[in-house]
Amino acid sequence: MPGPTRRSGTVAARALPWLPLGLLLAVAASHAALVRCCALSPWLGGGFGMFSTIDAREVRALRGGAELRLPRSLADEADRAATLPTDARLHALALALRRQAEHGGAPLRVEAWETRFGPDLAREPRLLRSLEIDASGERR
Amino acid sequence: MRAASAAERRADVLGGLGRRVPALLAAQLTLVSLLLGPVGVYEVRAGVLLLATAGLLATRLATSAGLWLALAALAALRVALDWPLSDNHAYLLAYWCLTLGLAFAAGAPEDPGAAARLALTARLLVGVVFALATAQKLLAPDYTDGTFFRYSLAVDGRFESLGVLLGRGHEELERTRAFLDAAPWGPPPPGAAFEETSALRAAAGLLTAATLVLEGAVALAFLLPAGWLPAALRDGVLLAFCAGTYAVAPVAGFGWLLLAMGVAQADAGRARTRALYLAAFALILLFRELPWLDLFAARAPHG
Repeated sequence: MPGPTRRSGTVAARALPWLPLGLLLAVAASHAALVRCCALSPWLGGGFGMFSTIDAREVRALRGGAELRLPRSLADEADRAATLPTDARLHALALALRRQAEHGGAPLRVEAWETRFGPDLAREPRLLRSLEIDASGERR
Repeated sequence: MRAASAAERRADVLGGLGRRVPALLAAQLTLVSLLLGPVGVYEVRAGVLLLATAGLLATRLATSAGLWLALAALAALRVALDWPLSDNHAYLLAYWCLTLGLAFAAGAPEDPGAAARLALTARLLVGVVFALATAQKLLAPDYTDGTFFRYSLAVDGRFESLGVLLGRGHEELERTRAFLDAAPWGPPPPGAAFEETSALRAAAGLLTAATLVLEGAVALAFLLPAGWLPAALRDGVLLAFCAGTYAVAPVAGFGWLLLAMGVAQADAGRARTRALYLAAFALILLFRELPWLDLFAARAPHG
């Protein structure tokens, strides 16, 4: 009679070929959850939603304060924050912006926007998420 | 003795490649795709290129579990480093490399049991990917009402030549893009407006329906068991999808990956089917390197 080790080895050997499929389904489920809860762009995140909606990175935009332009050095962080605008990402971006010499110390607001289009291609902009930090860098 | 004609020699080359063991051919196609379209940031890219080159130069390495598990780890690292910006085929590459690694760890590519497991996983991966893509399109109102393709035909550079062919000149395109790309918190700049021709509108409707039907057909064909009618069309619908889609929107890396998985799941007794997959692989390379739509667009009156 096979012992427990051998039996568990057999179970693992049978289960292992299903691992890639299991990962695909698990990541797709997390993608669906992140789209709903955290405004992840449906194009990204492993859910295979590309070419299914206008809501790609290109229709997302960030702005820091009323007149503040995002510097090129923060382009990568900005891309990530626009694609998945979680509080943590927006906070990190706000802190990085605040460190820019010309804005050091002042309270700062970061906004993640997207432009959707109606059936007649009418623009329907909306604010996805925003975050404000005070002079000490704490969220307000 | 009659000398073989050029056409016969070409057929023999394709047939010879098609007679290769499916798992080996699938692995080699994946390696070729990694060399033709290197992926990842510097460290990841260097590792992927070295492993892919080694695998292509040494047949034993091409079916080595270690090589594929290492590639799977690099592909997963690429997704993690880029999170959440990686395209979907970056994820699929990681799953597929892992699939090949596990299959080759379980047995040689000629082993019927290992080959059958590889074929099953390849088939289900393709089926689930297309089911997810179809479901997301059906659930997105801006896809089903045609807005997505009307927008994409204007802003996506891959469709630019098609737009010119269908009557939108460069000036109209500039005004349209200025309208669509304007910052969300302010009005579009003066003169910006969405402009399209009736041919573009019709093309958007056609692309919306055709993509949905074709992707849904691939999902059904690959997920339904053998014996059901759609299952008999698996290779045909996947080849049609790749040849049609990547002619217009050349995302070569995704296409090559799908074709490698298609080879792995195709009936081992059908060398001609594998030869067709090889031809489709070459076709996608041609679409990428010779943007045929650009040639027509340059001659269009609006071009």
